[in-house]
Amino acid sequence: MSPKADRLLFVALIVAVLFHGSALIYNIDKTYDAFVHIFFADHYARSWFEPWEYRWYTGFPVTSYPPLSHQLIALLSKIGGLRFGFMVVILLALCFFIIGIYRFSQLWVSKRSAGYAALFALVASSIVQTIHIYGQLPTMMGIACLTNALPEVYGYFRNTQRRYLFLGLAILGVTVASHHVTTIFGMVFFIAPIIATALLDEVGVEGSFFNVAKDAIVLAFKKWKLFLTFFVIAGAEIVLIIFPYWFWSKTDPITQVSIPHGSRDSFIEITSSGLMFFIIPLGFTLLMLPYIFRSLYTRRNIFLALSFSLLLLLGTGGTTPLPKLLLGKNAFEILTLDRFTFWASVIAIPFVGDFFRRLVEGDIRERIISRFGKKMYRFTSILMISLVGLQALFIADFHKFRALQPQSVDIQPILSFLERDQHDRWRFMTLGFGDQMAWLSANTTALSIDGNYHSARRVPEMTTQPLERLENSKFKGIQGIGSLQQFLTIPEKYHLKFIFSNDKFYDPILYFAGWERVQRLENGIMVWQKHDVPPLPTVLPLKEMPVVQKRMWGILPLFAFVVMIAVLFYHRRVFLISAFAEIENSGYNTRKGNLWLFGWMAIVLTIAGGFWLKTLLTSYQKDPIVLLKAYYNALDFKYFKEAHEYFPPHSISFDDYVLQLSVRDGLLASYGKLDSFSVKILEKQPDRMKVLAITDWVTPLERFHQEVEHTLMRVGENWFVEPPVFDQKTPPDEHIEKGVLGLHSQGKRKITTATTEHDDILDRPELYVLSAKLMKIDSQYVVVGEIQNIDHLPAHLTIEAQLFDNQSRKLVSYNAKYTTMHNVLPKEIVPFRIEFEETAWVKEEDKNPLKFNPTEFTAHNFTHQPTHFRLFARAVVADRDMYRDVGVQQIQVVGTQKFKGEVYNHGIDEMSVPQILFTYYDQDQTVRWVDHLFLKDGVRQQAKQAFEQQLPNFERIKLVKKGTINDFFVNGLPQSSFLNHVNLANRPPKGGLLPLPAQQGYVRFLVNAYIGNPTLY
Amino acid sequence: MRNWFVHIAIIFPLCCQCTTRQTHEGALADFKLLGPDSVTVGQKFTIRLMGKEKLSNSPIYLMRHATWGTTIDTFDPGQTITMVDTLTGWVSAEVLYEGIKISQKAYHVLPMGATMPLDTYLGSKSVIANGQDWAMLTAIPTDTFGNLVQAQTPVRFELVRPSDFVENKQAFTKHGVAYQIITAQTKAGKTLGYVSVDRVKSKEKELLEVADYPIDFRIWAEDTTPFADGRQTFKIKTDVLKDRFGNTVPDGTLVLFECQDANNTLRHLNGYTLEGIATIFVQNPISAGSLRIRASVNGGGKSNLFTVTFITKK
Repeated sequence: MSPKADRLLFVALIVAVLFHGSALIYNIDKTYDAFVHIFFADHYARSWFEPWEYRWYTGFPVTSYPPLSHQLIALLSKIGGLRFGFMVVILLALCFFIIGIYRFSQLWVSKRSAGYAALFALVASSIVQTIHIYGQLPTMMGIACLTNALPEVYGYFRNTQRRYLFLGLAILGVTVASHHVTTIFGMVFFIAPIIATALLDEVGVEGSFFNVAKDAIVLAFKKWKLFLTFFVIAGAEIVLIIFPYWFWSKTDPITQVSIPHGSRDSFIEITSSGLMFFIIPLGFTLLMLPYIFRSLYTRRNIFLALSFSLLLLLGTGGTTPLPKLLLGKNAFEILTLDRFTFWASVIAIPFVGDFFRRLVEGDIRERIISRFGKKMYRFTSILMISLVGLQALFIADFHKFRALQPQSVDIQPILSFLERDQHDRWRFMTLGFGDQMAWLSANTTALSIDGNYHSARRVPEMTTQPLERLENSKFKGIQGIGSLQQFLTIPEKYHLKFIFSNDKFYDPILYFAGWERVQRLENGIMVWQKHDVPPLPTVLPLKEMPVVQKRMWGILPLFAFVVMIAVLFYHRRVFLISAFAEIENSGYNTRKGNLWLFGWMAIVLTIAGGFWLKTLLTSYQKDPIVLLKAYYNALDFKYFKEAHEYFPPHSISFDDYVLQLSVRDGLLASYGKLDSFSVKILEKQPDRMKVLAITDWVTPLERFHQEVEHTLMRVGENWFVEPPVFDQKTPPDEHIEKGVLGLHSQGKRKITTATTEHDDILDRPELYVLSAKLMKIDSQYVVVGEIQNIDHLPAHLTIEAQLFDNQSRKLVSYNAKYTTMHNVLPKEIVPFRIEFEETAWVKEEDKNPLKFNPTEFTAHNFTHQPTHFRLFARAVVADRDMYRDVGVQQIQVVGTQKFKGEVYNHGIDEMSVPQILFTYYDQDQTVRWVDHLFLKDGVRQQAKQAFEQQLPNFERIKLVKKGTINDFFVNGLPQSSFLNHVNLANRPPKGGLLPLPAQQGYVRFLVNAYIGNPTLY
Repeated sequence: MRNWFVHIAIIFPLCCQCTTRQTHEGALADFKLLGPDSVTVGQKFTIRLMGKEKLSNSPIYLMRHATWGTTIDTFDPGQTITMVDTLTGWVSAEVLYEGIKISQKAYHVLPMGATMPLDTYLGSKSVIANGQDWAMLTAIPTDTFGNLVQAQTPVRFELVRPSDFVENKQAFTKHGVAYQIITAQTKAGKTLGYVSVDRVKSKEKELLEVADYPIDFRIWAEDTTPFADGRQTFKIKTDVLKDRFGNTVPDGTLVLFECQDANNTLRHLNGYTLEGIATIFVQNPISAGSLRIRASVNGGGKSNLFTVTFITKK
């Protein structure tokens, strides 16, 4: 046998570079993790020895992830940029992996089969998934190095040659430096079976089971020195090369928060997780299972068989209770389990290669031709090969079938925005970018309050919005530090001023929290900003690290890499050749095996085909309840053509239907997602039904409950649902002309980059706090009150309250969120209500919510009871977002607990999301409570919308402290300094108060509106 | 025995040092620093060391302690130094030779005259034109080197009030600052301020004088249609809202309109003034009868009660 590597290996390497290289150019932008790794690489490219990264969160150390893959990209990026670096490193890792599979396969199958295995490795679905869907470079490097190290371990434990030890440990060093998890678990699942198999090969597997076992154990004890040498040095490598990582993970407080991941789901209940984390990674291997099991479960391969079976079982996640029992509850919650499926698929590759060798040029071919003829053989072989090829193509192009990320965003306009006018002196945040925010961060020095850091720590997860909305309706909350509302309500705490929004879903939240639209960039991104946020201090806090660790982190991983290259180069002539006898036999016997194998394949393919046919042919119209559910589903995803098909023919034309829908705006119509659906049958007849559809909708601001009656009717075989009746009143005027207030603040009047002159800074508008009180409702403390803009310019308000206990210790401070109006006209009085929220998800017991909850609120846990408060209001001049051409009419009190009325829009803009603020007064006309109500529908010009509101239960709301003028501070000064501008003595009584029944005081109404499409933009 | 001798060996030279120093300090009177008692910043001046002995062995240093720090210069061979001071204040100069102070002198550095740009600050940027509110215009004149000008420098303030009334005032700098209180008049508009020191002029400063809360006003209806159809709209207009001095209220002042329908339901509608006039559109009621409307400004005036009557269409 010529001591050259099989030619198929080189074919595999060339095809790998061609196929993956060309696909990767397009797919980098669509993967989950590529940009995160590029961001880390950018960090090393900017500062190699300083691990503190300022640009995400409030800073974090990059010693939270093994560095080698990032450092290699950083080095290559000096030549051709970050994307170039990423591509080169991942292709090199892939080539090294293919070589590794070739060498690893030679331990289990013949050399020619190893060549076929190398070919299969490049199209194996788990590899294609890891590269093109996940973009997980460190995993590729880790598995590449591990598979290359395994034959060395085998050789060392067989004939103790030094060269195996050096080579194996050198490669393991690089494995540790790129992906520590692979090394540690690799010890259990790969290295242990290899060592056991080496011992078995030494003693030989012939003979009785007992004798073989005894001999093997005796041999193991004899070779104790090998064990010691290998494991001690390997252990030292693992600890030392990435020592700062271990140090960080032991000392970092945010370690054990449980992160939801689809790989822990039950795949039967949640089929999308099963698809993503079991079926796709295994791919063709699923069809090959009988072959693999038959080849593995031989005496020689038994250890590998056990490893494979265990990995397969653990990869099933929550489908059975076994993985949780085996791993223990803690490990089960922390680990992501798709890595086990990945490793199982890697173990399977040599045997699939063996199968193809025998199918193309071996005994399987002979058997099929002899039994069924050449035509059958051709059909079978072409089917096998095309299944493999199609699976690779399908996975590489997966993002065309299911959008995993939002559309690609051109970051250049955002970079220009951040670079001009000192905008990078504040933090920014992105919404709706998916994992592209890491690419944005890699290209700028501006700091973001958010980060993709947790994705870097974990194996890829299914948390991007499009996929989740389609499948599981899980929204991604901002992980790690707190909920989105906290960033929006107290942005000054984080020096957060700018938000780049790619997702219209968040617009109402931003508006009602007091943010305003600045401009729409050329790439379609809307820039939002918050007034009155101080810039970042020049010196930011960082967690200092011992210099020794910083040097280790910068030198050792790269040093391990250089050592490996050197050792590989030295041994290059013998690297691809196995020094041991070629494995000729396999456990698989074509006589019986073929039946099992092809029978299994036929069953699986038929079932898969059956599912596909079923979804194609399923009609939702055979059952009325299924029809209604399909109708609501179509509405939810805005498949209006499909929804229209569920109406009886000729009931409403498609154009009419879509037109009626398009003129609706509002929280529910434009921003709602269906959360739950159930039906109640009111009337049932053979051809007609009256059904009540009970639905819950999630919108950015609130949850809405709706109960709508539907009439379903049967025409022929199919059921249909009556189209909705659109009640659009006709406005009275064809053309409206109205004077509106237009405002413009020049900012710097002289065009210069110097700091703004004193003359160009408008004074802070003066405010007057009419009243404020600290109230207690149930166990929550709330500050309510009223404030007036007594200046001549419109003002943007930030209202903050601080609570103190009876020893005047400050307990907590928070700002007013939705229950106020943030932009106020001159002489206008607005109410406010401040609730005190805890910073979410910092404590260990807190769990990240699985679903987006707009009313997510973690009430502050008071260790001491607040007894008094202070109110800090400040204002800057505002020039937009003050739509006042709206009011309430037909107000009447119904009974003693409710009132109702209408919101009337007499202006020229359509109110997309109206909000009514109710200010409740005591008999002495001081504020006792403030409430708000979001209407679920928008109000068009010259149109009205009815509403109803329950009076609050005033018994539950108790007064803790009534604020005095000494508690109020305006623009940094005590309220008393502004009294000369307030005509206190002759203040006329307040207007607009409606008396409440039963001496409960008064109520006042105010309407705030979010204009989704303003005419003045 | 030996120790006693060592002690003497150490102490004796120290004593000699003292005597030598005394000798040198006695020589202080021999050296005099000649130079001006006061200089202006930027002006070159010479200090000369006059003395009986000629000191040529080591360099002679001049150490100047000023408010802003200490500088050290070296005398040239002719025992003179020519230098320039740029920061004002008292300077205490000492001459050092071989580590010993041999002469000293104090002199005063005076500022130059004011120069462009003239730092002026006006705050608040707006006052209420009610004859009582006030703002302050401050000037901090500095010379070319950034030093405050001499105390009691006259600063002229020229104020052009909205009523075209021109005021000319003068103030003197004290602790570097000269200021003028601008008391609001009763006419709204823009006051322009001009500050000058000698011939140096400042930027034009702007002070807004704005109207106060409005007094009571009138409202009426326009473009009414007679039928209570809950659909057509009519206009409610105010007359020009002015404060008690006759100034029109600023644009955007919020006016609250409250209505009571014939069926005892209420309406609250907001409008804002443009050129002092607030206009809103009100929808016709749904029940026939009288609609009573009143407008008001929070903290300010209110309007008359206006009634519009509607009938049902037959």
